[in-house]
Amino acid sequence: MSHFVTPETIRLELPGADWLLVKRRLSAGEYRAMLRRMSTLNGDGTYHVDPLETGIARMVAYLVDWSFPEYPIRGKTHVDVYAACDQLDPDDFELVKEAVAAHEAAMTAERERQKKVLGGATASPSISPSPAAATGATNGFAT
Amino acid sequence: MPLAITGVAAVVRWAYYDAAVVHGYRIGRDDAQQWHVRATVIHVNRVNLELGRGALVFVATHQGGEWTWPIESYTLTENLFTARLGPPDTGSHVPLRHA
Repeated sequence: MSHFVTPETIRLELPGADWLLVKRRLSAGEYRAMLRRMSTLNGDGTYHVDPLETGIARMVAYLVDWSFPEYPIRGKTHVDVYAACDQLDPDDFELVKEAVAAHEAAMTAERERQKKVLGGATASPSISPSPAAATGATNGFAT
Repeated sequence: MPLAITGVAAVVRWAYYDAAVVHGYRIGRDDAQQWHVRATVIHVNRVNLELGRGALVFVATHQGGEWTWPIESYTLTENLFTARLGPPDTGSHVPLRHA
């Protein structure tokens, strides 16, 4: 399993012969950008997740193309894809949102299965104790 | 007879990622029918350029869509991008790698 995300896509079929082309998985940077779009900055410098933005942020993060001919999104900026999603009929918006969320859940489950097969499901990385810890010494400056 | 295509803006893509944005490109085909490109780099994602090696395409947009050439090999020196290209795909879309 590669440590890097390769740009693979999956086609999700929708009712009525429509389809979505989505990223198979997000890179760390794309995931972080998605979280940023889901969040608003509080006055105290902390972020909080805005539940009204989670669905559309996930759609923008994953969508590569769709079959809706009025406004093709392939190659469009995130701003344009966001605007296109906002302009969808509310029922279609829900359909796309649910399809993308289900895809994300399926890919997460698939990766968890792969981790189990590779034997790294829940194990923490093994870290050897430092020489100081092994000898009972403490770190820090002498006073 | 050698052929040359010049243009202003183009991109080097790795599927849906832009690996580089280039300017002032010149694409040519030599007497041996081998395609080449030479362009000035405006922006580059060196990680995607390296990870995508072997699956990169050079994309030149035109009014009706896009011309794409698979990149067989490339060199990036300072801000100069040069590449050896495969035969062009004159379809309007860059093919994506399906899982």
